[in-house]
Amino acid sequence: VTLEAPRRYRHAPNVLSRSFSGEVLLAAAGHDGMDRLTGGASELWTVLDEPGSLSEVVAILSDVHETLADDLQPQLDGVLSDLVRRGWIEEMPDPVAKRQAPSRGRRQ
Amino acid sequence: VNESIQHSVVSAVAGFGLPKNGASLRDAGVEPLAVPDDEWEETLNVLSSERLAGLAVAAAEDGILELTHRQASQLGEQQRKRMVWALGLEATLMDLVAELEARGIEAIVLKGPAVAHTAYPEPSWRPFVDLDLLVRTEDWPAALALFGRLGYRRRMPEPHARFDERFGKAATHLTPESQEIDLHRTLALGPFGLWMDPADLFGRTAEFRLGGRRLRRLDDTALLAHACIHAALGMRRSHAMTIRDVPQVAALPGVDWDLMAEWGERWRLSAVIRHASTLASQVTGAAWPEEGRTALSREPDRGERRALRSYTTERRVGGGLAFGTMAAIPGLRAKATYARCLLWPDRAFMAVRNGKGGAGSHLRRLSVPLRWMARRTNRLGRSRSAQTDDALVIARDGEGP
Repeated sequence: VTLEAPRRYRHAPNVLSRSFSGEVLLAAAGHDGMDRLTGGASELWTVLDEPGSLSEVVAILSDVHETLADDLQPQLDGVLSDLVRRGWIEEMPDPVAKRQAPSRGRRQ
Repeated sequence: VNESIQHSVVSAVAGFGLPKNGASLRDAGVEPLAVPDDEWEETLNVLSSERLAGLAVAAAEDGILELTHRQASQLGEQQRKRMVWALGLEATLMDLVAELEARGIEAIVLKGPAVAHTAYPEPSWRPFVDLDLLVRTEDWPAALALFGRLGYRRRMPEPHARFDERFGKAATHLTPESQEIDLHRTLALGPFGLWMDPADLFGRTAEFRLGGRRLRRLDDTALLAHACIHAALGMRRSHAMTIRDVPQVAALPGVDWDLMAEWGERWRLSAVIRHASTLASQVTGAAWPEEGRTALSREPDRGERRALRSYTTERRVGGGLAFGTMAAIPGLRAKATYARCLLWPDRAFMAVRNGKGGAGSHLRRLSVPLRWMARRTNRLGRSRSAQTDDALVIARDGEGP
């Protein structure tokens, strides 16, 4: 049985950033131009100061805004995909899930 | 213009968030400051020119500054411009450090990014407008050559071949994007730069991470020494932000106060440290750390006090720095070389300095020290008591010698 590890995300290591007044500015060496994040995108960036999965980000922000996670998930998914596409956030393998998957498989 | 409002705002903002001032002045019962609309434009100009926009944003979020929606929006716009510039500089720094490393040139990041990312709780609190890199004197020619290959234009040529390596502090360069990069071989121009041994600084470094790279900075003690030097001896009137660096860096846990005291004596920095401490107290309200009293205890000698005055008073524009440097240069032959370089510089230097072809201007150059001496004689005749160690007159000066 193959268990797919949940995708985890983190700031790309080469990113240069500044956060103030609820906005985030992003730049990188060799990267054309800068991006400015506001609102939910800025909050998502801040939550990912510590690497996490989409579901973890959704849980935190739905708690903060007292919103249903199901309502928030599609919006954050779109923002996250955009930030990954632009190179500001990168996917990382989940080491915990990777370690656990084989043993779960053997039990079955 | 109501200067008292601006003074109150600058004082509150410059001291905001300092560990010794408490994490939150609002929690300490300090009344929020509101700025009337007709005072706002000038207040914003002062905050911006003192490079305090980032701290002001944080102070407003903390409730120390009570801003209207329009005021907050304009302050945010100022801060955004500063941060966009700082990020552009950091992107350039990443490329530049890679180039230097590839050529085996060891470089230490000074001031701006090094302080913003290590001493401040948020890098957005500490803007910077240029980059400063320290290289070993023996790497100076290779670093200059690299800057040239990268298309960086040196603002002012050296007065004479090898002048920089013997007597200079730094060379300012402009990138094709008009970013300013100062290549340093020591931390101060003039006597204090000559009294210290910049090679020692390469044994006093630490790492910080930026943009996925490990960069070298001065360690906490050397960072504090440099913050004091910059606040006390900066080329222009020191910005409030530059002075704020002193108590901010002094709060770092790694400061070795015994070493600070030792440098005070060995590098004759005691007058500088004392002056920086006074400025910091005046501008931010922060007291010098109790554990660092030893660094203030040594009485500066007469030569140090006189040297400090050549930076901090009107002597600066009257040849004080040049005369002070001459006094600090060891050996008659070296003193003569220094004087010759300044009095009879290369044509290329003269052309840039005078903004012309430079022809026929050596005689005018020779008359400059005569004017300095005449001015000094007049001043001495007027008053011998006007200067004090703590004088806050930091005269504006041009670049270079």
